[in-house]
Amino acid sequence: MENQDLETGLKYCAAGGQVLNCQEIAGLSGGLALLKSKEQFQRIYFWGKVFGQTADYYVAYGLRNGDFEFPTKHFFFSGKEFQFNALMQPTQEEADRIVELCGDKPLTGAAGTQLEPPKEGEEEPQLDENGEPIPVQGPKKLTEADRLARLVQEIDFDTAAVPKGAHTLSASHSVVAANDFKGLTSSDAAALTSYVHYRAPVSIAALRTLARVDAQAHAGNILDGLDGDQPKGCWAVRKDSTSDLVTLRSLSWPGYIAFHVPETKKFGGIYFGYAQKCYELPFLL
Amino acid sequence: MGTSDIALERVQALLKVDSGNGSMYNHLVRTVRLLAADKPENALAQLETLSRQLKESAFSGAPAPEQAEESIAAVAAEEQRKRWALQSLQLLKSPSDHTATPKVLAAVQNFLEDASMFEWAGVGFGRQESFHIAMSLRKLAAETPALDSLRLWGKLLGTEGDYLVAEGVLKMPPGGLSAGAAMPGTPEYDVEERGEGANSCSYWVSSGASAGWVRLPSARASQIAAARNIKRMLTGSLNSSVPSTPWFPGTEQHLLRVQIARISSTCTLAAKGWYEPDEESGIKNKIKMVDAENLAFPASEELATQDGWVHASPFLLSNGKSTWPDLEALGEKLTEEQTAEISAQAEAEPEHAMLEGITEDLAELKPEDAEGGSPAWSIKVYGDEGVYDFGENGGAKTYRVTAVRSTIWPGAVTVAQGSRFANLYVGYGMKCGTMVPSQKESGLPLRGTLPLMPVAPDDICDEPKDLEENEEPNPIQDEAESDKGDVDEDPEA
Repeated sequence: MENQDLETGLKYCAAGGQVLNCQEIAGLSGGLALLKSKEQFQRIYFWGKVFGQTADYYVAYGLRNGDFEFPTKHFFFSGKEFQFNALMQPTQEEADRIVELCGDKPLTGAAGTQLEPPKEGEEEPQLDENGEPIPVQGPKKLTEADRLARLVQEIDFDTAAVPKGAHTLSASHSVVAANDFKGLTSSDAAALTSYVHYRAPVSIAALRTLARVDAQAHAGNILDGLDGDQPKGCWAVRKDSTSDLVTLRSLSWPGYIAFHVPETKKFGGIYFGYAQKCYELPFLL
Repeated sequence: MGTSDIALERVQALLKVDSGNGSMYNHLVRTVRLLAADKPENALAQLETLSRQLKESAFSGAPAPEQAEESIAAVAAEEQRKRWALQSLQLLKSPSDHTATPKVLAAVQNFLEDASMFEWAGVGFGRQESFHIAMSLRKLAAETPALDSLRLWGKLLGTEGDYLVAEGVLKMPPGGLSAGAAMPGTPEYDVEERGEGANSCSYWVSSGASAGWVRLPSARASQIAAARNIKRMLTGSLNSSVPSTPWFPGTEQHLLRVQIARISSTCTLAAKGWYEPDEESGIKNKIKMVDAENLAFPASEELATQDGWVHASPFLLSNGKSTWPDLEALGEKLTEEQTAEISAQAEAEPEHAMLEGITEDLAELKPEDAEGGSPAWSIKVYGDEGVYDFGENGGAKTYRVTAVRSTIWPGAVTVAQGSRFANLYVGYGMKCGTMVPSQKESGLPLRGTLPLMPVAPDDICDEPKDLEENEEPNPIQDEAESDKGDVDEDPEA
């Protein structure tokens, strides 16, 4: 959710039982404002909080126009001090190596933690005259920041739920916020089919729509729908007792919660969790 | 102006009276216009016919319903909203009459104060919802007779709906409930008595702060043992079935109750020195608050380590109860075999005393070279970490909030600030095995955390012992010894 909507957004997501405290909200407003001006983003969004064993990470992202129709999400993370740093996306080989090394282990909370166990007989990094370690030639040493980047990417791919129609194709063929979006109707908002993933689509149907000459006329179908997610039932859609708010909880990634207030433009999502996927979900439903 | 003018105006007014279907004046105008347009040959003869036709064509009848009338699109949603609004307004009403003396309720936790403490730890439901919960607890306390104390236990999330769970202690009837020790294998043995073990407290659930509370049944030892072998997500409907392998004996309300019992047993913590064993009550595992003059609440530095915390709920053994059968009380009712079996079990898995420290939890999973305490707990400190000096009387104070989280039941949190602490659970009610090291011997995740737990086949009956084999009896031959001759001689010959 966007920086300035953070407090109201948190209120809408609070049914999941997770909130941010005043200190965090104050820190985030400052930290995100700095990040926004430093990186020259038009808008900056708070993505969520990833729990570690000893400390937590706060993750934010900004949007930049990419070479494809969909704008690229640039992720940033910070610790307790709210100094945001970029999360570099690991390459495919690195990502595989991370999975091999860590599996399902929880994050520690220290971004500099080396993932690989220190090798036997390896020398301490040599220090130059200023006391800075001289970079060693060879493959990049993976740290927990790389693992966080991979996990955030994975979670975002599976979640990032927005109401259908909130985004459209512009004349220059890029996905932008739809100005004429007035919110879903109360009955539509309770259906999973009315929500899509706000990320570059991968399903054949969505890609085919994007490739059409008249793609703009079919802008409702350019993003992947949540109803296609596996396993069936991995989203818990809930209308609150006033029917003025619809929340969607991901059961695959417990802790992700998205909301939409029907008949308004208000929607958003947030993740609070240990970045652990519930792989056994098909057996639990 | 003359009198004739007035008369003319009166006539005009009379002509213009509209009695619903147009006025005389309009009718005459239309008639003349029609005559002028049609130019009939004998206008005077057709006057009545024309007039009648015009009159009939001008008839408008009752007005049609207004097209732009406001209508409610979603009737069901509107009804629900109305019901919610009424219920939530009802909650705000004071439980006792203004004019009468205030009704005294049970000791209900000040949830709003605790909620602000939990908010620092990042757990909460929002301010308005917290207030609704507090009011809902008050309503439950006002409706429940013989209630001693009440608190919010937590919130269990499900696929279709959530459960708010309230935990209360009911007053014991004078003379106690004790019906004597129950024999193993009997239905009485299966349920621990109210006030003991898994049934130390009673539980109520509600689908939301403004909905009503439903009391859950008592936890059964057999169901606790069965729930350890399954892993299911709750649906949000109390009477739905629990389709699982191995089979779970009961519906979702029973599963809900035993999950609450399991989580309470593992995750209810208290600051060290807050409680002491209550020996006067004569009830096993009973604890009470330490007297104010002896109370030594741990310093905030100690609370931030595992040494500052102890378990405040009875430990549940593998039989689903907090105790093994009392051999002395049962005495001679048990057979020798049963006695031996129970003593062997009790020796293999000794009963846990109350108020044990948390540092030794899951010590068997801890890597040998690891430092620090138990892998089952993670402690974080939030908020203002400054230390303030309040002179001689107050001493040094800090406002920071310490949160202890369970890593095997994610969502269970105990929070302390100053000399207050509280427990809460918000989660899906499932045990998690990925946050702690896996079992050393088998390499599998923590016991009871895999959704697929094939049951070992039951003991197969031993093969019966073979009977001793004998030759087929042959009475005729037995009668006389063989004479070893080649041919049988015919005795009658």
